[in-house]
Amino acid sequence: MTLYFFYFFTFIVILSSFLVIFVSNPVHSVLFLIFTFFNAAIIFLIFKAEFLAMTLLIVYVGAVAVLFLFVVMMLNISESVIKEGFLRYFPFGLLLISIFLIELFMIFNSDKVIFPENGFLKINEIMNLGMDNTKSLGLFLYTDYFIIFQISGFLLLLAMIGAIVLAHSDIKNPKSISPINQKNVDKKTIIKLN
Amino acid sequence: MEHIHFLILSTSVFAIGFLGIFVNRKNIITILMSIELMLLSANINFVGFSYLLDDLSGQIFSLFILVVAAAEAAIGLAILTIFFKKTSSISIDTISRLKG
Repeated sequence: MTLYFFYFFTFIVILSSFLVIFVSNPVHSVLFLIFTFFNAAIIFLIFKAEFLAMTLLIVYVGAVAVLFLFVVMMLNISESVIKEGFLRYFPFGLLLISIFLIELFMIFNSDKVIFPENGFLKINEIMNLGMDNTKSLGLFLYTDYFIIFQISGFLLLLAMIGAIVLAHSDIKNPKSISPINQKNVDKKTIIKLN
Repeated sequence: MEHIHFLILSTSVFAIGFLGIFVNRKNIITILMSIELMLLSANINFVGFSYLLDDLSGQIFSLFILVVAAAEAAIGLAILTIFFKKTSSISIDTISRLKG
């Protein structure tokens, strides 16, 4: 039963991610991206990662997709220009992707890939202690993975500062007067008698 | 559930993102969205293997990928807006300042 649910949502994810890159209108493209992330969150729920599913919805649908929509609507792009060169690059891309996929599926089907039998942080043992997914994630995130967690926090701070610095531009005609210019004013040059 | 099930899903999504970078030469926004799709496929792989191998580390690293994806989207869109302000187009072909 779970497997059929998984196949169904897999089909929807693949279909909607196809539509993300092939739809000509960028707004529709962003909306299909949101739909893809919703279905990916459901697949995360099937994999029993409840916290990550909800985080995916909050971070992607709540922040990133809204940012994309905001930029798309702000830029005002004409649709006819966007699809130029589509057929020119499509066969080459298809060729590269088919090579990539054939290589990967040869690896998946071979017997030489060995997966480890036992996990490092076993989910079942943690669950038996009476902790849910979010609690167990927090337990390891704040202890074993603390330094990586701090670095990711700094990365977000850096991204915020970088975005502000990039988007901030100097104002051409400011209403306020610069103190240096004000101090250097000479009486003879500025007062004129007609 | 065997490993091949979610591996097919994640490789398909990755390949679609890869194709999106090739096909959309006139639209940087769609290329950024394709990169998001590729990061999502990495996330699906991590969470799937975390479920399969009964290991919580995959979910933790998936969280870090989420952080990186959010930072990348913010910086990329900021660069895109200033680029559009200067050239009033979002085509890849106009990005040739470095003459590369």
